[in-house]
Amino acid sequence: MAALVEFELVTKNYGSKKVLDDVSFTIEPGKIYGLLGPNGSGKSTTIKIINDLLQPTSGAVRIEGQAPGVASKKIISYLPDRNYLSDWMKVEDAFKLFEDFYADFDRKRAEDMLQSLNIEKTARLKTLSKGTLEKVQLVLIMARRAKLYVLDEPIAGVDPAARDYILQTILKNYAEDSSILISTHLITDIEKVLDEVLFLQNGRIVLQGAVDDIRAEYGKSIDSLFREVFKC
Amino acid sequence: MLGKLLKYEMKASARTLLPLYIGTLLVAAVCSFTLTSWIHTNTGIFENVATNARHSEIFSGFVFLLFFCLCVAIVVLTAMIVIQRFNKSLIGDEGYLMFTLPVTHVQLLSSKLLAGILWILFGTVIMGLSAVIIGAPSVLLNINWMTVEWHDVWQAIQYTWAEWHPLGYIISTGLSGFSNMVAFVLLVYLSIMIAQMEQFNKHRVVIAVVLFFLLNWGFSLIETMLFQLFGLDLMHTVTSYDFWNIYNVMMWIDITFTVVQCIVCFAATVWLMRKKLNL
Repeated sequence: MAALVEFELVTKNYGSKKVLDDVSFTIEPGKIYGLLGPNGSGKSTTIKIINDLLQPTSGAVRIEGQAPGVASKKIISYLPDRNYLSDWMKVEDAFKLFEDFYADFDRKRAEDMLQSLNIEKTARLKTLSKGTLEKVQLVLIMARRAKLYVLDEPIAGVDPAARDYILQTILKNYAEDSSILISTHLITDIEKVLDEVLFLQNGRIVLQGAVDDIRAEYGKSIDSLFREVFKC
Repeated sequence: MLGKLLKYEMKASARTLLPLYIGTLLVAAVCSFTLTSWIHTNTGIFENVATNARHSEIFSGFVFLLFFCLCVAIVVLTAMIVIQRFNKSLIGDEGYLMFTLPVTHVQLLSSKLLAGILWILFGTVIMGLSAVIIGAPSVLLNINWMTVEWHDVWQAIQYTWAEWHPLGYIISTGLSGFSNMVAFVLLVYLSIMIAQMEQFNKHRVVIAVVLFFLLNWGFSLIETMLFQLFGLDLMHTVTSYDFWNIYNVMMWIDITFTVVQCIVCFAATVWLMRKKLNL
């Protein structure tokens, strides 16, 4: 069976600058992956390539054995690191949009999450704070019954109290055979939920593997290891 | 999926354009009412014909100025919305959503283009309708319907139709106008798509504008050369018969060329979306 995501010697250049350099990894079903690295290490580029927003300069990317495209967009639920909803919309409009385009959008689940976050369905997105807007986007993304959730810095813009809630929301709402790829540099908060990690530095994967194995091998937490690997 | 995309596209633009279009019709109605009542009140009251005519000129001037301003507002705002809906929702942050929807790039571009065309056509109809609303009542009120020789009017129409066969000119001119409008929108999209590439990260807007004029100039140059190749020149026609014949041939060449230009621009924009997107 084909891996959910497969990167094979993927390189991405911006002009003369190499942002990804022969990156290879696979994402298997049913696991939570942490894509870890400092700013500018190539995390967002990797995520954009998975989501067909960027084309690699060389190498192959396959989602369930196919090149990224319409089919992969049906099974990947993507949370970018910015607000991507039109400000004229109300929360309800955004729900309708997701319902219209994604067959796997579960409205009941979305409404339950919205209620527990105390966000009004009739609220205009324009009037919401940055943090609340991020929560609305997270609700939309996690209400899909996707095979892969790709979350780019999902907890960067919210306060620490909300981070736990968001992580719980993520964990509670993904099916066991689904996978999650979380990109972040706030490792302390998410270390406990990760199964696998990919350490990116200057566009190269410097470490990858199962969290438990890495902890056992290096005798330290992922957070400590991260600080050591990416020491300035 | 195209239908759904189009629905959201129309909804997003309607918030700005519909109030403007409705407002224009209302202003046109007010102008029309004021003009009609002014003519009605003043006709025959002023002994001094010269004064009457001067007042009438000033007032008509004002009404037409207002109408002109509204038309400019419709043209500018419609163009701005057509450009902004492409620029903001595909190349801006909203592009992260639009390009990750399970739709093809062709569907994405088609929805933008169709919505743009529909709004431009709608805006044109509104401008035409406003002109009719403003002008028609005062014209109709000033015609003495009892003295109109309907038989003569009908004969004049029949004569013109038989002599000039205007249907062909109307169709070719209309199609040429329509295809050029589509080409204009697609050229704007193509310029924006080229300017967003990673090579032009700075001064995207300036580059897009310059590119638009350059590409437009390039296509016009090729078309002019085509006309020359076929030996078509409107300026040196001797008879009006020659003039209209050459005009018609030029229109059809223009339509064919513009359709090819549209296909080239559409294909190039889709290719850039697929291969050179730089969000």
